[in-house]
Amino acid sequence: MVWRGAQADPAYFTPPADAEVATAGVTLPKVLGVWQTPALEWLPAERMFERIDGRASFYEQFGARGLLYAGWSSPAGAWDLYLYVMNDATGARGAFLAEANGANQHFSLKPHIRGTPGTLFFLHGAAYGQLIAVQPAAPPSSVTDLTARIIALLPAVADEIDPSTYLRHPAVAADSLEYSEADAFGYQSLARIYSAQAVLQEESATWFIATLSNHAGAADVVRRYTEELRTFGATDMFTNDYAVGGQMLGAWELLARTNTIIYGIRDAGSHTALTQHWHALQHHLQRGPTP
Amino acid sequence: MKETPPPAAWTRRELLQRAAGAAALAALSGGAGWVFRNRRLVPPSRTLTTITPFAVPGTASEMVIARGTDGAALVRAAVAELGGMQRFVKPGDRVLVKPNCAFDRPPHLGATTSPEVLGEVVRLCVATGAMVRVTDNPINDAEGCFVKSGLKDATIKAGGELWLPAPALFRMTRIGTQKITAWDALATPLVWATKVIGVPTVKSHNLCGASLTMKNWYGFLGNARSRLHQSIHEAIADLAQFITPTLVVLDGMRMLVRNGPTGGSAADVMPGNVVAVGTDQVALDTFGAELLGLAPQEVAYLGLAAQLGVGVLDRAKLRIMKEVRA
Repeated sequence: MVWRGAQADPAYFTPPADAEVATAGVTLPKVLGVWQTPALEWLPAERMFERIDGRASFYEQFGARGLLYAGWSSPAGAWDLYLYVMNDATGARGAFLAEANGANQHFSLKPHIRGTPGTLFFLHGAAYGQLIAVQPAAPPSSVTDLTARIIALLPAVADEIDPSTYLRHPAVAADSLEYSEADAFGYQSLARIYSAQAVLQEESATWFIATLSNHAGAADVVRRYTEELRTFGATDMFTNDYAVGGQMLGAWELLARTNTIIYGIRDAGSHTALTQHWHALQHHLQRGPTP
Repeated sequence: MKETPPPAAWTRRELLQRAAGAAALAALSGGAGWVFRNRRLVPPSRTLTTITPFAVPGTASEMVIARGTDGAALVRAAVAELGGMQRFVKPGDRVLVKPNCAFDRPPHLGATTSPEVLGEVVRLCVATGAMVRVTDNPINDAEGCFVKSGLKDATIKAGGELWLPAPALFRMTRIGTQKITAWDALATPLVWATKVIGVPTVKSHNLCGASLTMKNWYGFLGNARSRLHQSIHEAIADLAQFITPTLVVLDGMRMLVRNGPTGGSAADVMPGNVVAVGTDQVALDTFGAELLGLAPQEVAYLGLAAQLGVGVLDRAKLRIMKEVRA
C-alpha cells in the first residue's frame, strides 16, 4: 500500500525487512568497538571483479556468493576487510586452504585463523575473511579484536564436518573406509585417523586424514610423526613447508598439515605415485568433500 | 520515383503524430544516454581511434637486467646501460607512464608496481625536459588505488602528474587481431602522448600464470573488460599489438609469487631484487615468467605474442642483452 489516507505509507519507502539477503545474510555495522568504516560495500559474485578483477574467478570456483568490503580504521591502524561469503562452509574452507602456505603464522583466537605481518585470514562457517593492513609492519595481533567482533556477527557455524566425508573421491574405494582411534598404522603420533584406499593411474595408496581442535596440536602431530619416521628408520626423508615424508619398508608415505587438518598418503609404490596421490588428495581437500 | 510530400502538405494530425514520435524518440535516446553514462558503456563512435607505435627507431630488441637491492638504483643503472633516458625521451616529449596500479593494496603486498621504481622512471623522464603523466584504469576507485599503493606520492615527488581516468577519456580503439579487435580504451592519454613507458610489476595470475608487461596494458581498457578473462591469452596477445611502447621497466623488486593478481598476504611476496628494462615485450615477459618459476610454454600468451611478431622468446636473440649489478 503506497498511500494510507492522505499520507504516504512510510513502510513502502523503507527497505524491506529482508534487505540483508542482498548481502547473503551477513550484515555488519559501521562501528565495531574502536573500529570504524566509512562504508560497507557488498559485491555479489558477478560484480566481485570490481574489487579483485582477475582473482574473482578463483573465489567463484569455491561457490562465492559475494564479497563484503570495508576499510576499517582505529587508533591502532587501518585494515581492509575482504569477506567472501560462500554457498557453504566447505567452499569457504576450500578457498582458505587453497590460499594458505607454509609461511603463515597461526593464532589461537579461532582454530581457523592464520596470518603474517600485515595480514590476518579467518574462516567461519561459510565466510572466509581477509584483513589486510595498510601499514606493512602491523602485527596481526593488533586486529584480533576487530576479527573477533566480526566473527561474532557472522551466522552461527554448523557442526564440524565429519572428516570421513573428506575421503569421498572417485579414486577412493567407498567400502575401504577405516577409522583408527589411536596408533594408526602403528604410529603413536596418529590418532582419530580416517583412511581409505585409492587408485590413481593403476597406482594404489592409502589416503588418511584427521582434524584437530587447535593449531598447536596439529603442529605437534607433525613433529612427533617426523620423529617416529626417523626412529623407525625411514630413508629418503624429505620435508618442506607443506609436508614431511620418506620411504618406509619399501613404500612411500607423507604427512601434510593445513591449519588444524592433517592428512597424508601411505603405501605408495614410488615417489612419483606418492606425489600423484598427494596432489590429488590436496586438490580434493581444497574443493571440499564430494556430496 | 516516390517523393516525400512537402511539410506544407501535412495535415495537423500528421504533424501532431510526427511531433509525438520525435518527442518519444528524444526521450528514449535521452534515457539510453543516461543508462549508458551511468554504466560507462559509451556507445561506439563511428570511427575507431588508432594508437600509433611509440617505439624510438633504432632501439628495438634491447634488454638490460639489473640486480641489487635498491630499486631506484637498478632503474638508473639499467637505463644508463641502454644509453640513458635521453635516448628514448626528448625535451618536449609528452610521456605517458603506465604502472600496474590495479588494486587498492599497499605496496608491500606486491600487487602493484613498487613506488621507488615508478618514481625513478618518472624522475629520469622529467630530467630530459619532458612532460610526464602517470595513468592507470583500476576497476576500484582510481585515486584510492594510487594513494594506497604509494604510486600517487611517488609520481608527484618525482615531478610527474597523475592523470586519473574519467569517462570522457575513453574511446573505441583498435586493439589487436586475435580476440579484441576494438575496445573502449583510455584513448585520450594515448593520443596525447608522444612516448609510452610501461612499468609493470612481476606477479602471479590465477588465470594466465603471470601478469607482466603485456598484461599491464589491460589497464588501458575500460568497459566490462573482465569479459576478456574468458580468452585471456588471446586478449593479452592483442594488448601486445595494441601498445608498442617506447620502453618497459619490469619491476621485480618484490614479486607476488602466489595468489595473484591480488595477493593479500606478505607470505605470498618474495624479494626479487631485479629490474629489467628493454623494448622487447616478449623477451621481458619471458624473463618475468622465469622469475615466477614458469617456463615460456606454461604461459600461452608468450608464444602467441611471439608468433604475432611482437618479440622473441629467447633473449639470447636480442640485439642487445646485458646484465648489470647496482
